[in-house]
Amino acid sequence: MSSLAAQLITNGIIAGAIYALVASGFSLIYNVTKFMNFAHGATLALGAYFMFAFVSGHVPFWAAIILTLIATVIAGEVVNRVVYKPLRKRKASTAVLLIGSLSAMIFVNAIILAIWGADIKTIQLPWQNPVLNIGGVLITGVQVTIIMVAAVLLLGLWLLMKRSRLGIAMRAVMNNKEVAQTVGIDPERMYSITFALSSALAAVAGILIGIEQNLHPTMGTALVIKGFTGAVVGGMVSVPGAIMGSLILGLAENIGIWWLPSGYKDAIAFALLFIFLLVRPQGLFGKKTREA
Amino acid sequence: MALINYFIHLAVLIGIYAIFTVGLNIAVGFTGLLNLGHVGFFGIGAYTSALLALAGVPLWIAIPAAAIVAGISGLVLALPTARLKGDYLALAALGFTFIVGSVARNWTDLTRGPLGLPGIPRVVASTPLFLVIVVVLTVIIALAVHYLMKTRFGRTLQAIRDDELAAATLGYNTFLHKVIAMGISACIAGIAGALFAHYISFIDPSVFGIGDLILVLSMLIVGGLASIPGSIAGATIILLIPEPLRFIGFPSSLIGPMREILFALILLIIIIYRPKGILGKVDLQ
Amino acid sequence: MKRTLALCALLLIVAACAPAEQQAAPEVAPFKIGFVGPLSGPNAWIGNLMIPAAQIAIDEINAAGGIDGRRIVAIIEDAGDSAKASTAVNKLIGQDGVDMVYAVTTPVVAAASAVAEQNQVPLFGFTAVSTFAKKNTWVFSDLREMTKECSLLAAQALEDGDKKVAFLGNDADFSVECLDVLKKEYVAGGGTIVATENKNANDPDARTPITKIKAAKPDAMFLVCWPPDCNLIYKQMLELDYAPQLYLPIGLALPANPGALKGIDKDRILEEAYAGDQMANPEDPTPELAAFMQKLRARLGREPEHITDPATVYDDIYEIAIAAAKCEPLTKECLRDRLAETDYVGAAGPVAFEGRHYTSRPSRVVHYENGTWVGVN
Repeated sequence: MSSLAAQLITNGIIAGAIYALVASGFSLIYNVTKFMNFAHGATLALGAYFMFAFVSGHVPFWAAIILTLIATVIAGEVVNRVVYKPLRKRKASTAVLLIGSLSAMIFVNAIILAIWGADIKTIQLPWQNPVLNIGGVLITGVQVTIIMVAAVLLLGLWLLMKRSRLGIAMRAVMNNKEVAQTVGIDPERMYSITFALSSALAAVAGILIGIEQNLHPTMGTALVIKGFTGAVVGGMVSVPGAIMGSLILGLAENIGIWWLPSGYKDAIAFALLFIFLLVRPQGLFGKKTREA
Repeated sequence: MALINYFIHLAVLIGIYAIFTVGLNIAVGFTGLLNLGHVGFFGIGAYTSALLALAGVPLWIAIPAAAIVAGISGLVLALPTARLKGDYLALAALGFTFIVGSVARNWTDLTRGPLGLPGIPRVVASTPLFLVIVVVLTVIIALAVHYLMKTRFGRTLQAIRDDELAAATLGYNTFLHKVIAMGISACIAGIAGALFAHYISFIDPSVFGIGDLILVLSMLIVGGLASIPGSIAGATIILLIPEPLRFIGFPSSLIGPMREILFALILLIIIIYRPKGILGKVDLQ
Repeated sequence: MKRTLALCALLLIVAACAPAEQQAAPEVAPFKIGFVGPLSGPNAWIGNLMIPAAQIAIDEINAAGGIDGRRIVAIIEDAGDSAKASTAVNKLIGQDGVDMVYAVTTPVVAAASAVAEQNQVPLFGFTAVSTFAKKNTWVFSDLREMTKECSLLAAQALEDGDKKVAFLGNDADFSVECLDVLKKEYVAGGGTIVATENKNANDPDARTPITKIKAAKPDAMFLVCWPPDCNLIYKQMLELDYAPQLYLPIGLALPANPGALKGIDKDRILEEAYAGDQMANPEDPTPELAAFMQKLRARLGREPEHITDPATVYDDIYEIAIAAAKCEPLTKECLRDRLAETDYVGAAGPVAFEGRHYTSRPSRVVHYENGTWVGVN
């Protein structure tokens, strides 16, 4: 029985790592701009489809990754300029920005559908994906890569937000935009950098998830929902917290359907979301903030 | 001749969604509760009425019963969530909708799961007559809510929206007001859901999906917050805008995306250039 | 306020004027078929597969002179859920005056049935759920019948001595029906269902359901999935080193389809598998099916996700054309009555309605042996 438990826990960690890839970019935007960017899933899907396009065009694999990152960052900045900047200029509230992100999401999903069609696409790796047997637990090379990338992101984003000058500037803008401006930080430039970074994270997530799970035009929507659930569980105000929360979400889902019928997997995720919002809205790793 | 049937059908849908949007307006526009779970109440109303009707309960009992059940679920949702901060309330409400949807999909003994409930009896066989009923209901509900918002209760809700702290210091029980507002809002959504089920004659778990949520949210924002005529206008515009697109002969692979792109653009233009909506009184908080 | 009214008036004028463009009347009124199905959203791949298949048939029939000189015209609407479907069918019947409606996927057929029945317009539904055709007078469908195939495979499992099975299904209507059949017939025959797992079609992670099934150690596994879904499930099964004896209802159309097996070690997954076959095997096709596959590939510009279902749609159009040709004058009642007489052999095999509005394609059990599917008794 215990090898079953070990495999389920591993499944949970893999799923959690996938959600963490999504949550990292989502949480980064929330932490700097304070709004929930539901279009993050669409950016992720765009990254996956760009990768598919480059690989199908016989671009060498590693070059395709670089090109995808660049293309997705550009696309993200376009959305920032066209959608969010005009809204920010008009002093839109975070709820309006959320609605704006919904319209961006619909738009990008429709573009993907129009260009690439609705059929499922796959990204072929140029090498065979090895299956590893670690003490009776089965895991593939791609899955190990996803977990390692999630771990690197956890460390890297923590260092960025807490220790680097850029991170401190970002947090300054989040906490108090006006004061940040008085010390010479340009909020718009911070927003651009944040969007660029978030789009890059979305591209990385899109590439890895596309390889692991195939592509379809609305792949981003379900992922961003899981992503923000993970962010809530871990703490919306903490980027590394969002990653940890996603891991916990993945584990909860996979261990939860050990006992419950597996059709309820989504219900477990949302019940977790609901409970955390009620009981501990700052998440497991966030600090309780007071309203200014 | 038959063209008029198409317009009648559109008018029925506009009426149903107008009722739905007016309900959402109570929570979002008048009380400031960003309720992303409104679709959940719509679905609960639809399923309750459909299940009762298929079990033989006459419609004049089933539909009000559905409205009451939806209203109660609104109270149930509001009790733990009304204290939450705006964004978190929105997510909690969204989570609620997904949980209810998941239950609808999995509790196959009750809801038949993905098979849905076909053959739901209609209110009246004749669609033009149903349109009259829907229009009458829309007008009654719109007027009722309009006057409700002018009462002391309604004005307190708006005070809570504008400055909850101030309203609390003035001695109003803001929590109770928010809960009741959510309950009324949910009840109205339940009525819309029941009417929907009895008109389309089929309901399945997809009614709890994110698509309808975005639709009704758009209707609310385009029409304008805190404006009852605005909700009706919003429903009309959002439902009518894609219709002329049908008459342009797109290749079949582009029909879907074109409609969605147009929809996204309209929504975006409204929130950038006219954030109060067409007839709205306040900005979205 | 004035601006709003002007905007609304403009929209209504556009909507009312546009039909005038379609009034450039040919000598003989064309035969209009209204198509409604998902062309966007999560099921977009279904609509974008079936409707082009129908268009192949329409183009062929028109090239051969149409229905007694009448051209077939297709009017296509996008609808993925019941509200959109209802609006779309109302528009097709009211505005376009179609002679009949073809609806794709169950929720669309459900909503369309109500409208078609009210307006007394024949409706052909592409759905594996027979309720709509059975309970209405204007609705037809002739798709695969999941219950029959699950019944055959349940009997096969009992005969083979597979006393314990696991079931991995999805949230589609036909999956629920298959599980019902298993519970009734397989269990009644002495079998035990040791594990029942469901995976939402849009959920790409089947690993934990597979892990649980593997741990329950069944003799065999019943698998129900859409081809894109099946592809991920097979991939994850192989990663988890689990390739049990498989029972695949609607096998050759869905789980055992080339699209589902793309990039998968086919011989390992399908070893000793039993599947339902509707006499339409993409790997050993009849000449008609092979010809259709060529045309579909050319039309789509890619490998289709699956073959048998679009072939059924292609045949449906021919059935409609044959019925319409028998009607002079072409009335909806006549069309309905002639459709009930359908007795046709097409790309997807033989189909006969025998006076009813619902029939299903005949099926049989096939067994995977030495790299090919072989019929069982």
